[in-house]
Amino acid sequence: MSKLLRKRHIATLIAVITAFGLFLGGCGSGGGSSTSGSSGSGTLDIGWVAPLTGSSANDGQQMLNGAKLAAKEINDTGGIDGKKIKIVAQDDKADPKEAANIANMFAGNKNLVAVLGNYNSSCGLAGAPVYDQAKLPMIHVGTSPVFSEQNHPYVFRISVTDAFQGSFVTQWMYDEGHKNVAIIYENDDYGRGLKDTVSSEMRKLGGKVAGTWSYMLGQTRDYTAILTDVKNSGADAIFIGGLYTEGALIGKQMQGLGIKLPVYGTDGLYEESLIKLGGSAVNGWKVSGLFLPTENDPKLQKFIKNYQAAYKSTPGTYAALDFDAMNLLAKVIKTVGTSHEKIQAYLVKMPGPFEGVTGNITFNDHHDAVRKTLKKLVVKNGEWQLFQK
Amino acid sequence: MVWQQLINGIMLGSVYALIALGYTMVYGVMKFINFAHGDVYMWGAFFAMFLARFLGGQFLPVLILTMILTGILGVLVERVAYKPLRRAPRLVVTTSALGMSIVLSNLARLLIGSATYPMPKVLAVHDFKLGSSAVINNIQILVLVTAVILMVLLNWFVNRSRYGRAIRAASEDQETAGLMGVNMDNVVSVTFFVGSALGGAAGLLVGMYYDAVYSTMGYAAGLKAFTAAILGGIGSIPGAMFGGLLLGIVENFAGAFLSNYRDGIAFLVMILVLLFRPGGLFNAKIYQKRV
Amino acid sequence: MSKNRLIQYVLLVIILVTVPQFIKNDYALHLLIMVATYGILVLGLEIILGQTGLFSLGHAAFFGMGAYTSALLVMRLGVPIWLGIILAVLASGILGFLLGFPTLRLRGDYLAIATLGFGEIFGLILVNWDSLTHGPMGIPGIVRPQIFGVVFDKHMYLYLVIALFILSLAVAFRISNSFLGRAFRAVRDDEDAAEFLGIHISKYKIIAFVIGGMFAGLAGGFYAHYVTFISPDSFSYEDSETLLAMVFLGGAGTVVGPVVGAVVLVLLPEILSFMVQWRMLVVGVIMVLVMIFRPQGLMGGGMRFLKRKKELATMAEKD
Repeated sequence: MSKLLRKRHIATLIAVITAFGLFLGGCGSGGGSSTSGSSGSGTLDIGWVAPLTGSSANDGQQMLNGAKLAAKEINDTGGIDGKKIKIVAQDDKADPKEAANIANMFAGNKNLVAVLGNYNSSCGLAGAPVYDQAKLPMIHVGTSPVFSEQNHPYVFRISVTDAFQGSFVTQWMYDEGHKNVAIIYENDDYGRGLKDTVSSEMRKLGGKVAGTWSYMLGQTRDYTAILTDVKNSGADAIFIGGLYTEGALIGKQMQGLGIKLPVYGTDGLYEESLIKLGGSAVNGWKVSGLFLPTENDPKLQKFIKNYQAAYKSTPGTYAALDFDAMNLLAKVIKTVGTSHEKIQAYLVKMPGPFEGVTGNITFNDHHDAVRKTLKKLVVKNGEWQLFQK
Repeated sequence: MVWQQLINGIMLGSVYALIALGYTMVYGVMKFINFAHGDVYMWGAFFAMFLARFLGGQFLPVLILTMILTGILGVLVERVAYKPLRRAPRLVVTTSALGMSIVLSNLARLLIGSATYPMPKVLAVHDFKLGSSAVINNIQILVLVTAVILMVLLNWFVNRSRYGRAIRAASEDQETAGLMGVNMDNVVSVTFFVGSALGGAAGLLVGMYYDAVYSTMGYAAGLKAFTAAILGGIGSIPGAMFGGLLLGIVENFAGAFLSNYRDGIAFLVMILVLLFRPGGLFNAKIYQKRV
Repeated sequence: MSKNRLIQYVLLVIILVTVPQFIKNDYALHLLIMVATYGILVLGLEIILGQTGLFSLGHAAFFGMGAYTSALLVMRLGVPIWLGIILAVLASGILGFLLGFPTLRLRGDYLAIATLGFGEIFGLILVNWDSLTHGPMGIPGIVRPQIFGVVFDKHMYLYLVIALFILSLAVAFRISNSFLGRAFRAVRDDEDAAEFLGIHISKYKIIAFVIGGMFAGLAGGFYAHYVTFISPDSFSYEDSETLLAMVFLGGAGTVVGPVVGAVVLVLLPEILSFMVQWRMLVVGVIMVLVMIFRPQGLMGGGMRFLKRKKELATMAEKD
């Protein structure tokens, strides 16, 4: 390459960097100038981030639906002190690098009151240090135990921890007389945490683990190899530590291979789509969940009815979690205003539990949502029902 | 148990093989990896889903219409993203294909949705017991039989038909073929049509077999099929079939015994094969020129 | 160093030092840091792919190797961060050697798929070797560097990464103009002729992987201590694909081109972030359009220079 050319290239590089630098500087000062915060503008801006593209896009969309529904209900009744909630939605593509980008974007947006955070634990953890530093409260639905270990001051978890629901379901399986369980799990923080809990709890109770098998999300959804091995393992029940789509396909492939073992799972399986996709193959599946659509609770009934009207489907776990998270935020803002510090302080020491559609919530010292108990749900006649012995 | 795993592996492998044929055909003529092919296959599965909703349980009409629609999509992709680049370095075309792959998968998500959809029943399921423990059902048999028939037809098409001759001539030497009166535009269009139509057939068959269609299905399957095509020797049609089957079987046995490393073992086998046969199992004649 | 060139470098340094002072927004600072990180990454891939013509689809693995090496050494063994990053560079270089050696016989797409498989296996090891890597949970709370007892803030990170980037750029130019660079391009343009001229092809292929890996290791080591959380999801095949696209979008074989590609592909999705659901579609469309209307890449231009034109023509032919 000629020297002349190289010089030209460096010059171009300088030009490009300067141009982008000025552009960013411009948008930087633009964002920074409105430091007066939400008190100045007419809306309450809430950041929202989860995957809207890629293999987890559907769960992200559900969360967004739940959050939007809650915001609409609040706005329809006049908003909070006359201000309407505005959701600033961003897509993290289930990529921690993008999640860190968005966390910084939110941290730089002085209008944001709080953030409804990531779906994937790894994305939440990549953004958590940024939210802490910016003192921006964030409520997420991740399940990884790392959140509890790290104790991020501004990060709160509204979902159920693996340890809690894992031991709940293990006890349930044991009570039903299943003492040799095969565990099939998604090889990520969600499935891995459940696998570890169920294995250790089962052994503690005196049962056995026939074996553990894993699959990766985003790979070919062929589970016949695993299932053929499970069939020959001598297990008397299967525990699935994964989500509804993969769960439904596992069910169908079990049917194809003639496997008739009882199946247990956690809130990741609780979703209308499990039945839609799985059909007769998921009949009799038992799952721990946060709520049941047919339950006789006016608050829940209203949520389900409005959700069905808006999105033509029945809400699952994740839609309900973000619905609750948005309502919780609204309640906090109503009580303490829009100061980030005050919101955080309120969430740390809630005067009483927040009554959401997923149950009564308070946060413990690790900022994990504490719930008293879970519901035992079962698929019966093509719909979710309360489990009865 | 071993027999059941073998059946599972052959099923998965024949699916890979069908998709791999699309990669290999395009490669043979155009000498670039059509990264968008996995997403064309995904669209094939969606076409099949909609057709099955309208036509109900008629396998053959659904199959043929799916293949035609997917074939047309493939030709469109070629016209938009590759044809203007006929004279560009092939890695440039590869980048265009990467962009096209992003476009196709995002279009599906935006137009249809991000959920996983069940495939309407095209056929009722019947199980057949093989020996004491192995099971196979009629859909699996149908998938296998259709895959084999399509591959045989393709082989006939490439080796015996007029267009096949033109395709082979073009894959040996485009310029000379052009001088001999082969219309390159037509050859390329036919190649894309046939390759994509096979991808569409794979979409229908996979949709029926797993009973699930979703907008990101092209990614993993495309990656594996592409691997299978290279494993067999890219540009070689028997190579793609064999590579697909080998990959499917290896993956299944690996998945049963070391499920955490299922894909790792599949790739490891592939790397080992390539180390000893750097041109793939069926060292395709077409592929003698370098990058 | 000629006077002119010195002026150019001084100008670059002055701009890179002063511009950040005017940026107060954390988001803008963060994006610039990411741009520079990706800049270092693609400079490495440029050596492997653009200069030497080795089609690599596993570059994210080198990035991950650097990030994990430094993070683990610092977190588990208490190694000082600066030493950790240096060791990360070495570790990724060794990984480059380990990848380069067995794949010597492979050419073109066969090499691409072998590197792809290698990247996937690397990712699976990160996920499954819990006792070392903490598996899919990732490594949280990685310590930040300090200077005189002051923990790094965004401005300091930006200056650090700019320094690393300028260093990488200078090294990349130096290589490109040395005998090494000419040997790389000889291997790229015609292996047989290069061999005939007495160039030891295998040696230079391995050297290309080692150097490219070291660049990525540097970027990885920096990234781990900047974001303070790493997990296997950050170093996937999709990232390798993005890096590849950056090189071609900017213009392979031009050193600076890939950096411009990195600037565009890091910032474009962020600029488009107001269109949430549609932005990836637009990114894809733009990639196709750039390739159609500027197949030589954004920076592959400089058409006014006859010599370059000729080089392009030969590149197109050889490719």
